[in-house]
Amino acid sequence: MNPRIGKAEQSEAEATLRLLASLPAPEGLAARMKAGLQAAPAKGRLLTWPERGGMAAGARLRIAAAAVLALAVVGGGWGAYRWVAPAPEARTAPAVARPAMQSGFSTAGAMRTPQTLVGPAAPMTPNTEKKTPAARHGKTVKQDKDATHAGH
Amino acid sequence: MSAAQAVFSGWMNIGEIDVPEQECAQGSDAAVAALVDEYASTLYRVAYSVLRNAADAEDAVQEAFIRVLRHRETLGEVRDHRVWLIRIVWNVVLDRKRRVKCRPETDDVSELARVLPSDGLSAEEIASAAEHHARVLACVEQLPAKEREVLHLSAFEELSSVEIASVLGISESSVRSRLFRARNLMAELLNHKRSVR
Repeated sequence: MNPRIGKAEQSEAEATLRLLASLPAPEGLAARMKAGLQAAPAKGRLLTWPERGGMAAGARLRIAAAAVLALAVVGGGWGAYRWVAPAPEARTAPAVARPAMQSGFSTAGAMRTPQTLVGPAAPMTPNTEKKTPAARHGKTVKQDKDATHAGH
Repeated sequence: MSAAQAVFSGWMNIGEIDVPEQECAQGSDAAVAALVDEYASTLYRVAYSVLRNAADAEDAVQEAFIRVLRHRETLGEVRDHRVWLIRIVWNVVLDRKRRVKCRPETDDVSELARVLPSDGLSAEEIASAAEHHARVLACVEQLPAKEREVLHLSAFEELSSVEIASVLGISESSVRSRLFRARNLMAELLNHKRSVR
């Protein structure tokens, strides 16, 4: 305890509190209390607990309401699921599995191009072939060249 | 169904049970009325010392007696009615104080001057005394709750330290140590206030 603080301060505080504590009660307090007690409900206002054996009407109503809500949610979900059309199946042919090569180079993942396209077939014409001048004279191109060099 | 079967099945003895219960209720009502006569004033003073508002204090006492009325069946089990009632009103008062923080206590000097005794004092002296008490009470409010509660209850001369311990639900040694701390703190607060002025 701080030595500078004497008993005077302590008693000063307690004197005030004692003064307050000793104040007389107002007149007619007991009579007012009794009147208030007569007007007050004797039993505590507690929430009623549901009966042990049966079920209260309110509880039944709550359960029914909960069931209706659950049905609405489930029905709505099912309706939405049915309304959305399922995506069509992709028409794809499975790739033919090729046997792995025993040795040598690998294909490096390259796939063989399927022979789906048939190239255009050239019409077969019998004697449309142009004859070269050499051929016309019964000489080959080489013979023509030799003859040219010889002339020089 | 014969009379004996009816008695065993339980529906014939309703009247026999009702009468003692009614008498018991009337008896306990009378007991509560007697408690009101005897302790209403004490409970009011306890409530007023904390709330410092006449209407609030009266409401607190009323609420305490209503609680007693609701649990009147247990009146016979109570050993010391005075301490039991003070404990009830004390809890009511603390509840109210916690709930109604915004409502100012009657700390204003004029209200204290009106309430406090003024035998043979001039108007100036009354005002000065009220101001002093208001200052002291403001210091009391600055104390920690535990110390403040013990200090409040110790002001009631009719309450021993054992009874204060019973009201607060603590041991007697705790009451003493808290009271010691409260007195020292109060003295420091008052001394500090004086030095500041």
